[in-house]
Parts: sequence; C-alpha cells; structure tokens
Amino acid sequence: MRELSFAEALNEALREEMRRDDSVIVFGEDVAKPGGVYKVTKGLLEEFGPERVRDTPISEAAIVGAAVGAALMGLRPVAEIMYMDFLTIGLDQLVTHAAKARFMSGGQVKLPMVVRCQYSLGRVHGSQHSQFFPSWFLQAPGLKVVLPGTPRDAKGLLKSAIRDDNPVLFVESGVLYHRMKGPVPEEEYLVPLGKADVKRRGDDVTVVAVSRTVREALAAAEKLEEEGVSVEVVDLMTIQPMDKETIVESVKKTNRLVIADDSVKTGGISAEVAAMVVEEAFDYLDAPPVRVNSPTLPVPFSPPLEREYMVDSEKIADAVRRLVK
Amino acid sequence: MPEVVMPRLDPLMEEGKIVEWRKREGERVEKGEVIVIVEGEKTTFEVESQHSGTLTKILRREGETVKVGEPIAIVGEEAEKPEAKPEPREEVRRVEVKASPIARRLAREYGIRLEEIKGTGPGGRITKDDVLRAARERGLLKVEERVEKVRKVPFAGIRKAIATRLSPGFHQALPVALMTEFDAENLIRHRERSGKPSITSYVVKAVALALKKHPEMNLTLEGDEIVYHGEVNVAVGVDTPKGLMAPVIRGADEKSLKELTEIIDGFQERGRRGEITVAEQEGHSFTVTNLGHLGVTHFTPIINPPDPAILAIGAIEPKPSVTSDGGLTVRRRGHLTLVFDHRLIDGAPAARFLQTVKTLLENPEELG
Repeated sequence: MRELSFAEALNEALREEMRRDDSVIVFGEDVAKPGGVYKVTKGLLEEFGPERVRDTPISEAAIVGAAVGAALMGLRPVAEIMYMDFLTIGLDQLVTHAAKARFMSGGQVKLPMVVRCQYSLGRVHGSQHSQFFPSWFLQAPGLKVVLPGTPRDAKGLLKSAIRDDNPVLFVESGVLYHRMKGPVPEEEYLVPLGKADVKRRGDDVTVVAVSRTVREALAAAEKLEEEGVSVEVVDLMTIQPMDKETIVESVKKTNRLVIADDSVKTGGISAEVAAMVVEEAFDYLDAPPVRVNSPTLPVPFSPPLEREYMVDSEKIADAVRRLVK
Repeated sequence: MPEVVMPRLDPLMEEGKIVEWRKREGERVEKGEVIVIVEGEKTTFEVESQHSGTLTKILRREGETVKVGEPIAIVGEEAEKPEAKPEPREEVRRVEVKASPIARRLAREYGIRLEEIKGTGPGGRITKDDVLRAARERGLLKVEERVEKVRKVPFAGIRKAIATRLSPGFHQALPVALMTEFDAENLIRHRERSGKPSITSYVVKAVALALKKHPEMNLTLEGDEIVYHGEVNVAVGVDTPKGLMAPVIRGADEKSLKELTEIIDGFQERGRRGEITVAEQEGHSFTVTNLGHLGVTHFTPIINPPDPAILAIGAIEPKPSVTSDGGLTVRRRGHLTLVFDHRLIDGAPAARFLQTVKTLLENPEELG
C-alpha cells in the first residue's frame, strides 16, 4: 500500500470531502494562500477557490464563532486553529454555543462543524505553544473529541468528522505531521467516530493510548515482546464519546491496564479511562491501573527537559514491566 | 445486659453452627475467655467473651445454626467492675489481606480463604495467578478458566449448504448399510495394463452398469413420487478446500474408464480451485464416494438426496484369503459399503445390486 505522511493524509481527507460536498468550507489563519503553516491545507485554495477556502484574521473567537454560524446556516465548516493553545480564545463559542445548540433547540438545529487544531508538544515550542488539554472537553457534552494516531486513521476520522452532524473537535499531533508516514488506502474509506481500535493483540497487559502516544505504545509493545510480555495496544481515537466496550473487553482479557497520553497526569484522559475501568471492570483487575502522563506542570522549553517531560516508549514499557514484575 | 452474638468468621460468612458451649449457664466468665466453639463454612473458631460476668442465659443450643449477628447468649452485668486485664481482644481476629479485585473474586468463586494463599504481587498482594495456583493445587480449577484459543466462523456458506443438502439423507431416510469385500487382484492387473484408470472410475463404471442391470435401484424421491430413471447419472464425492462437493457424471454407463478418470480428475482439480458449480451437482440418482486412499476400509456415508443409495469405496489392502481348496493365501482385497434408504429399496434387491458391482469389479474386462 502507498504511504502518506500524517499531513498528506489529512490534506487528502479535506480534498475528498470538498469534492464530494459543496457545502464543505475551510477557513483559519494562513490556511488559504500559504496552504497552512504545516501544509495541511496546501492546494485547497487553488482547487476550490477563495469562496470556500479563506484566510481569517488572528481571532480564534471569530474563527470558531463563524464556524458555529456557518454550520447553523447549513454549511459544513472545517475551521483551523493553528495551535491548540489558542483554542482557549474560542472556548466560549465552542463549549457554550457549539456544544449546546443541538440540545438547547431540542434537536431543531444541527451543527455539522469541525474545529481542527494541533498541539506541538515535542517540537520545543515552549509552554504557550505545546499544551495538550483535550480532557477539558470531556466536560463539554455535545462535542465529539477525536484524536488520530496514524495517517490512515487521520484521513478516515476527518472524513467521518466532516460528515457528522455534531460539532467535532479534531486534535492533531503536530510532531507527527511530517515525521510519521504510514499506509493509507487509495480507495474511499471512513473510520467511524466513537470507536477505539485494537492496534495490536496481546494477552498480558492492555495499554490504552491516544494520538502521539499510540506510536510510543506500539514501540513499547515491540520491545516487551522480546522480553516475553504480550501487550495489547488499544488506540482510543475518539475520547468523547469513549468506546468503553473495547477497553473493558481488553481489560477483562489481560486483567492489567496501563494508560498513556500526553495530558498532564491530574484529570487527564488517562484519569477518565482509569476511573471508567475501575467502575466497569473492577472485578477483573489484577493490579491498580497505571497512568503514564506528563507531570502536572507547564511544558518546559529546554529541549532535554521537554524530552524528560514527555511520555515515551521507555516510560510505557517501564510501567508495563512494573505491572507484570 | 451484654449479648454474645454469632460472630462473622470471614467476610462472606452468613451463618454459623454452635459446636460446643465451654461454659454452662450460671458460670463465671472472664473477658477474653473462650465461651463457645462456633463452626463457619470452613473453619471452627473459639469465640471469646467481650465482657466479664456471669453467663446468665444460653440462647442457642449446640448443633443449632444461627445467623451472623444474632444473639446466642447473655452475659450478666454484675462484674462490670474494671479489671486488670490485657487490652480487649476482638472476638474474631482479622488479618488484613492484600489481594487484587480479580483475585478476591476468584477466591470467592473457588471457596478458598485468601489467608491461605501466598501472594506474590507487589507488597505480597495476592494476584489472579496466585489464586489460580491455589485452586489448581486443590483440584478446583474449573474448565472455563483454561483459556482456549478458538476461531469462530459463521455457520454459513458452503458448510450450511452441505448441512442443508445432506440432512434429509439422514433425518428422513431409513439408512441400512451392506458391507462386502471383493478380490482386487484382477482389477489391479487390469489397471496396470490399461494406463492406470483411477479406482473410483472402475467403481463408477461398475455402479453404472449395475444400475442398468437393476433399474429398480435407479430412482430418485421427488416429493410424493418415486421417479425411475432411464439415464445413469452418478455423483462423485470430491474433497475440496471449501468442503465436500458432489459433481455429477452424466451417462456414466456409456463412458470409458479413461474418460471417467479424466472427468473425475477434472472435478478434483476444479474443486481445488473452487470452480464446481451448484448446477453441476444436480441431476443424479446415485453417489459414489471414496475414502480408500486415506486408509479407511468401511464407512457409512450419508445418502445424498434425492438418491436412494450411496456406495462407499474403502481401501484395497493385502489380506489373508482362503483358497478354493481350503488353503491360505494373501490377496489384495477391496472394500465396499452400500448405504441405501429402506423406504425406497428393500434389503434383498440392494444386496443383489451390490453383488453385481462386486462381480464386475472382480472381472474388470467387462468394464472396458
């Protein structure tokens, strides 16, 4: 199968959905003429024209707000927020308006909008350009929150997100954009929202990962196999709504759970997964769930400190080793 | 007045049996002294009084079963005066046991006390493996705990088709099996001379000629009618990767051994490639099936509806044989089993048919 980078796969998803449906539009900072600072929207302006692909002023509140308005009026906007950090400026629109409209109108309106953003953890961009806080949106019911971990999933999930009638927050790992290549089918396919994916089968320990940590978990599993430990890797892909069934089924088999994600440990995605598993599969646990996260601190700017701060395959492998002893 | 109640000896205990009172009514008891022996589900326990005084009343007799928490005796108050006694001891001493949730659940299911299991997890935590080991040692391991690696496929497609096709041949037919042997020496020599036609082709040809000779055997059951056929169309069982197929050789009586061999070899080849069609497997009145090459001598196959009978070919093997003058010799012998549907055919005509097949196979020059 041909291989595409993460950014190329996302670009293809946008292109295909824009060709398929005229109501799909793209806007954000530098997405049109420059083709996106990370080239995800490259060539869209040339193919689809300035009506459907627009550069916006530097105002995240306006970008998300415009997406809400466009979606309410029947378009399918895909808005880009350059860094997840700046999503905070648009939170009122996203959390208080987008996530609520369908419920508050009793289902009379739908909000088929996608807000794409990336987090730059791992690229030495400093505390204010590296934050990863998708777990905040676990508290924003009405919003779907999607985090792909491979190029194939990135394309299939983005296409599903664009076709979904609910607002979707689509969080990409900037560090993967051009450094991760992977097989992407040439034929049309979708990856469903709300479903986790077992990326590797194993018997001894379940490692749940999401976004950038999926690759780290798979590398850890590879290492651990040589040590005789069989690891099952579950890629969450969507954290809201969460695919409890796949996680619980896996834990019932392995009886041991490690969760690895780029959130800081306190109140992160891993915390939610751990709580859910303790609630749903308590009697199947042979050890306490173990979270592998960043420390509850701002992201350091110093490259060695940032490396120390981040989850990697060795930290995941260590957690697994401690569990199987 | 202080009551002595049935203690809980383990977390799951619901009731206990009074085994023996160590004190009699009216007797003085000291705090910490054993007053009664109680039996839980697994252990017997000495219950100590929490109070000093007189055992004024025994409420439940020896042999009685009492719910946890219900009073079993009353200790009188008169000696409430403080005494220089050691720290009050609990009625039942409980040991804090560290165990994982699944270990606790499994221990409960197997009825093993956690206290009896050695924990090998962090800080001595009892793990699932520890409980399973203890269960194994006690011979308690249930079958379902052995994790079997299974592969599940839907019961559909060709397996379902085979089941649907063959079921009436077993559930509606009244199958009877006739078994016989034939002397294969002539057949083997004939085969060497004639360019090695397959054994199956000999039997198909013999069956086809026998059906011509016994037209009462050449029939099919079609609903309420028995249909007698003029043509001889014989199906042949073919083992394919997808399952058993039975394509039909039409006008089998008119084909040479060489032609039959080519047709059957063609079936095998096309079966391997999955090319045998449904239409090719229709329009037969008799079926031949061969497991001889797999060392089987006799077997009773399921009749292939709407046929009235099926002939099973077994292995040809050297066997001790009695000569006409009563001596012993070794001859190569073939094996045949005819399974027929007694609703449609009686035993004697079926036996005569089988006799004809046997004679033809022993005189293969008649098969061409």
